Amino acid sequence: MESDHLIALQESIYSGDFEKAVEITQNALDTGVTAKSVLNDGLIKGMEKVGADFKSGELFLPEVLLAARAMKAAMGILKPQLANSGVEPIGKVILGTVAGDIHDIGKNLVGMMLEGSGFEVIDIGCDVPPEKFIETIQKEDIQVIGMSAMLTTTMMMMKETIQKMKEKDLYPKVKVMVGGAPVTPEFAQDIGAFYSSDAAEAVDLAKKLISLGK
Amino acid sequence: MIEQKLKILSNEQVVQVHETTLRVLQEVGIEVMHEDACRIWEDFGAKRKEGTSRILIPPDLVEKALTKVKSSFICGAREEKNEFLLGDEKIYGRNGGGPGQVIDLDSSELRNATKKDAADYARLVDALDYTQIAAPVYEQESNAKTRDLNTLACMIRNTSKHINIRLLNPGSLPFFMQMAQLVAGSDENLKQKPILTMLESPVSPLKHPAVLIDTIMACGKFGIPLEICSMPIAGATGPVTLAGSLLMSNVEMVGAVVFGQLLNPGMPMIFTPRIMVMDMASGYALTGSAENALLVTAGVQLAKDIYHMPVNMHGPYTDAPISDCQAGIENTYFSLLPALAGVDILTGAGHLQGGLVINFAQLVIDDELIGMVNRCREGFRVDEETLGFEAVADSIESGNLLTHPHTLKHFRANRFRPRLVTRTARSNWQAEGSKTMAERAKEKVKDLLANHQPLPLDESIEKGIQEILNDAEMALSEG
Repeated sequence: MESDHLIALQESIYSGDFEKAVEITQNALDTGVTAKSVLNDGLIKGMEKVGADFKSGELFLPEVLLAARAMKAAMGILKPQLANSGVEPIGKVILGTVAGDIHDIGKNLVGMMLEGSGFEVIDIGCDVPPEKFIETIQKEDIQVIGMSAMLTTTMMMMKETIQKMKEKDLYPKVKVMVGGAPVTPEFAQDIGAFYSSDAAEAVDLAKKLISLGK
Repeated sequence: MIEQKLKILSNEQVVQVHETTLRVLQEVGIEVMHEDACRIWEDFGAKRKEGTSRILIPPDLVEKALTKVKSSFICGAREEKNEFLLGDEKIYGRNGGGPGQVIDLDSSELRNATKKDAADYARLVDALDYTQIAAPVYEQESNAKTRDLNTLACMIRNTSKHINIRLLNPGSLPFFMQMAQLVAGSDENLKQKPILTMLESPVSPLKHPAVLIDTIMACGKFGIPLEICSMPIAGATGPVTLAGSLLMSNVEMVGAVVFGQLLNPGMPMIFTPRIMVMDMASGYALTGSAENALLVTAGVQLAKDIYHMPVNMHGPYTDAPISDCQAGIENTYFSLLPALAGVDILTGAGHLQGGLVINFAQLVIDDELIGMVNRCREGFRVDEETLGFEAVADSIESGNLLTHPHTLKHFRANRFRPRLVTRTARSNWQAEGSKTMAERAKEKVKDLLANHQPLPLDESIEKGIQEILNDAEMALSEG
């Protein structure tokens, strides 16, 4: 019975059916499946297949986003249960597009994918000055921040934000992810940040960074 | 000029895009991220959605403003021979500008652009035959706050061609205008023969950021041509259908053109739809796909048939990271399609990887491509003389026409002579080192950079530029 629920849950995630994902999650919990099992054996397993099929070119981005939305909806029910049973969320990430830049499609994509992978995402929008990043880091219990930029000029705000984080002694304690059209791995390395080339890679990177912090 | 321009949409379809544009402007509107501009829109008769900065623009206001648009205007230059009339049915090449990274000519590695690269890039454009408009690569060595101004100064020094540049720091705008006035000699000269064109972009979906508004205002005041460049990504920031993203970019551009024409009727503006397409398999925004090329071509139709404006399109354009076959393929269809549709400016020579990277060798290849494309657009004459009835009749006797008077009269005309392509026996090509086109292009770059010098700048202008740069450094470096 338990495995039936979990397989159906994986399928609902894979097909991006968020109503079904919510319904099955609720049913599973009602029939005594542990929250931890729903998360690991249902939702995350479903998302892993989505990730693998996206990488191999079988699934397209909108399908991945639908799956992520289904995952997020199911997590809404699961979160209080997980907290009660002492299971910690995968991690919490602040995302923002840096000061002077209002291009946010890339950041939003990363946000959706992270949420879909079980992360808690605090999206502080676009045109975000370094002070706002710092303030949010200090307010929340944060291990990782992600900065996005679309322009070669605003990209420099990433460096400035890291500089300000150092002044407040938040860096390198808090890990920094960067991305965006003009950003390169070399640039990221120069400013002491971690680079990913797309939203799927960003999720893998965030997981790695969270585990480094633990 | 070819007799029939390429049309990929029917006249009815073009009108449908325009009419839907009017509807979106009226019912959905544009988010104008500039408080003064919102009030100005209201004074002109547009409605503001209560409690927001969304401006709803009635169709009659749009149509009224569009009657003020100029279909052609002079683009000035530091040297008179480089001036041209935009909108005169010719194609003008504009190299790709914007990136901060170049492919090193010797190592072929990607690296940050230096001050020397910025000067060399402008000097290289200055030396080319088919690239009439110079756009910058941004060096990554100077103070970021005044980089755009330093770049403009660098271009003024290194080319006497018309310049195309955008702001990196919105605060630089007044200094841009000062520098343009200085080089033009006076306010009036600048208006008559603006030595530079600027570019600014709406942000999709349907936003006009403050820097766009400020640039429209300043360009209108000083008579500087402005490209309104809209780049929705079909499937991400614009509808996934090509028609839908064509509509989205059209709304964003028409909104900006209307604002410019209402403020300064007749201000020179250039329609610049550069729609990107999301690759749903990877999430990358493509710029060189077949779909991109179709959109570019349809955009020319809209600009010419409905708005009667000069139009600037991407092309040559490619997603290829190096100067390879992919670059050759994409650059070719991406130039030829808009050219045959009637584009005025082709932008992108020297760009690789969707405009993120500059390759000097690609620039000289693309310059030659624009020459070829220009030649295609010219078409060929068909009349009694060119049909050559006599030559045909005489050929049965002589067996060939190599020295026939008709041949002698016409053989030099209408033949485009490319310099980089190989047109020789394999043995000759081998004797010359079996070089690929990219290798030959590299050699041409080195030769031009070693030998070409632009028209020197007057000392008084150099002094004035230095003063403006000093003032800007003081004003912009803090904070």
